[in-house]
Amino acid sequence: MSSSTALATANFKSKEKSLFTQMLNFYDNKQFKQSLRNADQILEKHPDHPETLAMKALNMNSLKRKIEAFEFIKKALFKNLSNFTCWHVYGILHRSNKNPDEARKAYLNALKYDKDNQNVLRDLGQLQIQLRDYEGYAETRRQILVSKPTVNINWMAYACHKCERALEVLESFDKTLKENKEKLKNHERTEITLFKAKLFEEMGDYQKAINLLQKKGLIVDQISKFRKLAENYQKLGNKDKALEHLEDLLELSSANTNNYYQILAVHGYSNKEFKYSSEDQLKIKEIIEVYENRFPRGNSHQRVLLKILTGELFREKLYQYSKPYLIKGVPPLIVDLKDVYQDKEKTQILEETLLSHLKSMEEKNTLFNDEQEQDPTVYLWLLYYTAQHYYYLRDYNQALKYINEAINHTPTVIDLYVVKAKIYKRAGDREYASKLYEEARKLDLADRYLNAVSSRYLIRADHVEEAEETMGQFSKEGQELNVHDMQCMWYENEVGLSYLRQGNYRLALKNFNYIEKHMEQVFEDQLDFHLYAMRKYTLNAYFQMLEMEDNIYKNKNAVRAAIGIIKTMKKVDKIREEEQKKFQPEFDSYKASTEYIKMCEELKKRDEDDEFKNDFDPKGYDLYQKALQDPIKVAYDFAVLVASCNPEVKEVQAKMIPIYLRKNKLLEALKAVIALTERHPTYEKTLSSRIRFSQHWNSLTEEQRKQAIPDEKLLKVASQEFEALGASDEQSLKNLSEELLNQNLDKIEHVHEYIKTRTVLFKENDTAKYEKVAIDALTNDLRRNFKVHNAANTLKRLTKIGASDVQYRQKAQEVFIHARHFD
Amino acid sequence: MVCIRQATVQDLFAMQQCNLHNLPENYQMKYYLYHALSWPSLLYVAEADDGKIVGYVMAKMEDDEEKEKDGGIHGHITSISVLRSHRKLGIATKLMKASEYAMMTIYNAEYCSLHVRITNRAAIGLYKDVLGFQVKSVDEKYYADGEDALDMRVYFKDVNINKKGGDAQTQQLEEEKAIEAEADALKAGDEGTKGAQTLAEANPDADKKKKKKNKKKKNKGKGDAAAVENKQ
Repeated sequence: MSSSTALATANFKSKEKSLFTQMLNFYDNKQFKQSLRNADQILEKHPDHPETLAMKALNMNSLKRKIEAFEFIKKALFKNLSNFTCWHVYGILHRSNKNPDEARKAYLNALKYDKDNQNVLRDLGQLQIQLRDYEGYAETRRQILVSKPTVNINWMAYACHKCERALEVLESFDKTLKENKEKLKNHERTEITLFKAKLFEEMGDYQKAINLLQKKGLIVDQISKFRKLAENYQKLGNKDKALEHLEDLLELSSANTNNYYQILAVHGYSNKEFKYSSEDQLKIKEIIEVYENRFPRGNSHQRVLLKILTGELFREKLYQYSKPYLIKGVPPLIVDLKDVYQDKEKTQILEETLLSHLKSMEEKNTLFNDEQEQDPTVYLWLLYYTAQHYYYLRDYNQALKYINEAINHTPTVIDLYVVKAKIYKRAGDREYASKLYEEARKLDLADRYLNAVSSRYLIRADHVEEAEETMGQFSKEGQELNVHDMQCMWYENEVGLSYLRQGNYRLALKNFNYIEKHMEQVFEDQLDFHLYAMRKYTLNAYFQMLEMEDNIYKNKNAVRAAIGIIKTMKKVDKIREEEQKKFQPEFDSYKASTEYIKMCEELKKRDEDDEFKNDFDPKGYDLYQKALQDPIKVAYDFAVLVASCNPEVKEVQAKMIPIYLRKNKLLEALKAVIALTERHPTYEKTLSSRIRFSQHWNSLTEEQRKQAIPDEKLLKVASQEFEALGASDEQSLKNLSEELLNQNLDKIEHVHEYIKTRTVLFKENDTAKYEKVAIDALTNDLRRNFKVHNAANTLKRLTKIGASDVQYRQKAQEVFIHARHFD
Repeated sequence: MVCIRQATVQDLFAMQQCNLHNLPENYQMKYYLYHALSWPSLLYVAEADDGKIVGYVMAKMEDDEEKEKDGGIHGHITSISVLRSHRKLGIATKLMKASEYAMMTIYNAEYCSLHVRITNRAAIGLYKDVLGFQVKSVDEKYYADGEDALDMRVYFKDVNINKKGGDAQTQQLEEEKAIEAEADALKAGDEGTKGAQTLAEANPDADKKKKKKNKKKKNKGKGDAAAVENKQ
């Protein structure tokens, strides 16, 4: 490029020439201020010099004078529409302002005037793949490869797009390597070979995949090699070979329990719920026990059997498996057996096992059916396990009995307080639970796990400030908590929910918004890796990354945040005028406060790069001001990204329906109703969502529906789908709501939905009936996952509609004796 | 039941959340991506029955020419931790062994290094007694809060790692010893790099910059400008 530097400065005197070179070097070394000074000096002599103008804009952009930079480059462009440098920089500015579409256009314009410019092509390619424009990317990378075939990374990048020709490209790459007598490193060769094998597998050519995997000297990653061989042989139907390689795999990674499930699958046992007849169970036991002899020290095989066996076979295996854990006192024993609780009979057996050991320890200091005398700590851990067991059964009284006994036995074991706190939390006393967890935390201040969980308990009890202080002991950088720049999303979600409970909608929104930002950031993060991964030959991980980024809103914290934002914004929407009145004076006094002024001064001084440390709106005032203009839009904009990525998550789908309706997105609302009806027919919000939607649909004129769904065909399909849902008139909708009640008389959350539907959607007010059905539900609900907060929601609802709630409250106190919600 | 398996990019968010619960040294997602896209076979997770990630190890290779002077190609444990709810099951030992095995067989590493807080006696005990690490030196004020770190190493030839596999090796260890040492071994966690260093390393183009420095001078600026933009 030095020739083009010469070209660009052809009319310069030597002083300007050296200023120009210096300007470029300054920029490369990130000395933007100096670089800018040089640009200004050159512009004094050559005010219209396009390259210098472009560099000035770049420097301004780097100095965060973004708006100015844009103005400037636009002017430069206007004077030099055929200058590729100006177009390139225009693209760079757009990209750095997260506007990839505009950037792509600018790069394409730049290429009009310098079609082989490698830098522009490279930047363009990165943007194209970032935007998932696979075709455009392939073409760009082809051009780069053609002009520079000796650079390995160019081969990788061209092979890497989603193109059937990837294999061909890789073959040619191999040839080029051979011609150049160049050898890749072992792990690089491994990555390429595994990638090729995956392509063969995807094309259904399992034999070719196997042949490649078996070639000597290509793969140093034995684990991946055996895994892929086993998978391909299994797909080919060659059971013996598949088994052979699975056993190779076990030798190398016997703690990977998936290996055992795959072995069972090869034998024809692949039930997703692990349910088998007793005959099959015996056969499975036989298959797995072979490995017990081969790997006597590990116990993954035993644990796999515990998941599958039932009845007496389970009892026997449980005894064998748990005995060493009981003797050593391994705290996670019960936590690790959580899956047992999905089966009533197995749960019963687990209980009997624990109780018989306890009894035996009490009577003669030995485990059940055993002669050896045990240490008293064995008794302690048995109490601990038994408490956990009853905790999982939601029998809080029993759980507390055992855990208290354990604490009396030895009052210094942290884990005991942890379990006791958990019991109180689930039983509905968040305040006391938090006190107990604090006790546990104080027994080991150096443990960040205790610190983090205790902070969570504090937030759940709405002590956000104390939680912040506690968290700060591990996550403080100078004066500030660094949870936001470290993307600590669980914390932000919990704090957001707490502020929502406390009615501080501004701070609730601010906290959920952090997660929105993190998602955007992580999506942006991939940009740097498109070329990097090619240089590292890590094609397999690279494709995993693309997939992860494509589905980034599947992230559980994003889902929680979306639900949080919808709840917050719906609330704000209801009391918008009130909030607006309250907001302005608060906002004014905040902006005038010394706290705010000082913060601004400091931020300006610090010149911080990090978005969160450089936040001029840490209290969310600006954000909330905007949100108050149109709360439903704020909810929609983020939640729709999450909802479309998670059609199977019922909470999001149900919460989205009223938002869709408000945004007149009739089709999307209908889709959500159908998704709920088909996938989650027993979910408490499914029927009520259907009723709400139907009422809305019915209230619209034909003309209004056309407006919402302009495409005629789509409207026709939607109408048919709606018909198929049935219940189009008010009476049948009412019948539907009765159905919701009658089928779920013993489930409080369904009864809650029923009351809500009758009062909100049908504007009825039969309060006496509502209280009665609610009390009946409390009396009859015998489920294990009967949740306090559902009962508490119903209490709120009853109070809200003016029903007498005295009796309901009494009943709830009886059922949830530890809960504080009904005081 | 806990399954020890190689991590995928899909696991990275869960690994980050696990790290945030366990250790004072945290990283942005980009740093996890950087590891996964550089040394995918060195990352392992412990997955509970319900799919929850309860432990992970994240490691890297130091095979730069400069660093090779420092005793040859070696791996480095950036971060390892196991949720308190799942400690004493021998998970950390299995994770470490799996990653070390990959360092040795895939990258030809001679040894593995790590940093650990000098006060974290339990963790130091696990590394020394169970995993065969030895103290190389003390890095003063290594951690952001001013605490010193021990620079520990294990040479693979010394611990006679079974060429057959990391896991088989795990089983040859006296398991009781492993579990006891792990009792509260990971309570304050062991870990890798400090804050500022983290950010620098999280920039995946950092090494590119170093290597291409000479070529860069020939560029006119705009091209590099774009490259610099990439890095921001």
